[in-house]
Amino acid sequence: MIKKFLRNESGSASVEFTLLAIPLFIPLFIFLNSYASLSDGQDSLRTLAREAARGFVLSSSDKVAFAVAEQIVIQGGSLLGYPGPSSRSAITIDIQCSAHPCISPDAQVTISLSAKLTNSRVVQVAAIEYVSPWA
Amino acid sequence: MGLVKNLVEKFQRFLNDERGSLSLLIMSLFMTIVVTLLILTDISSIYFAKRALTQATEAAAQRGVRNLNLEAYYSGKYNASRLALNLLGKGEVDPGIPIDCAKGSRDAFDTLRNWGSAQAFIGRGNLGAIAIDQIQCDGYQLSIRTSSMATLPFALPFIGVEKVRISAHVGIYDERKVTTNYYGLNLG
Repeated sequence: MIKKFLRNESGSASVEFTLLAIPLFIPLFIFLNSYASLSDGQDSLRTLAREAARGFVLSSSDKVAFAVAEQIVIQGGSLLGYPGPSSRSAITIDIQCSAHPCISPDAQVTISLSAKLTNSRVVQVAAIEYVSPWA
Repeated sequence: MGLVKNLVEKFQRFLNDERGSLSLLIMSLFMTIVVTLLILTDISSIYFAKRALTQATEAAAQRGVRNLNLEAYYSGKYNASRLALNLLGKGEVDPGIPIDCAKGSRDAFDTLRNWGSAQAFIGRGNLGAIAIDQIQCDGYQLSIRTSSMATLPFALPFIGVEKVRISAHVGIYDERKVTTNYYGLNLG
């Protein structure tokens, strides 16, 4: 009975396909998903950082600038599918200025954003902008 | 003679035997997918590097264009007859906002240098040093052409390409904000 079963070739193609295809193709799909998710995360966060930096430097005062940058990140992030500020994987903002107050003529403003992606990888990006010399 | 005939028969049997043929098919499909995936990964990496370069060039141009040429901006006399002509709709046409080209170019260069030095921090590790190929300024518009070498995550097989030159070209001009502020008097 066992010998007969072993010699029987019907369905062998399915077994061959399963044994070969699964170990070969699954790592490929994992890589593809991971790369796509990382690239998309970096790209969307970089755009968000740049928009926040633009909003920041065009503001009239430091108080307004910090609020504007935060709102751009929160609302833009929610449009791009990032979780809200209360979530552990929310976007974190760090704003560095070359002068104090930040809204001073020609001051350099660097906005860094970091977020934890769904595959637990952390993406960090930044954008640099300059306040108008007429501020 | 019998040996040759035997070998030919064995070879024919091997060719007719279909066992294991699926493995060959899967392996060739796998190889095709791997090569396609490497090429697509490289292409998307170049796309993202190009976007990063364009953003840096935009930031530089935006900073450069803010430098007003005050002498040109406040040139010309404004008097009652000019005011009357303006009110009648026969006044001068707005030529645009004059830019101080020398200072604007310096600021744009400085911005790109800062972006370049903070490259790894800014988050596009495969983008090399940013080179300014051309800065053009006609007094009202500033355009910058930059280039950089993007390193491919996977060197392309057979042709051995490891780096690709990418470039970005951005042009910007200033625009007056429409306000109700006339000669320092804000009418709301």
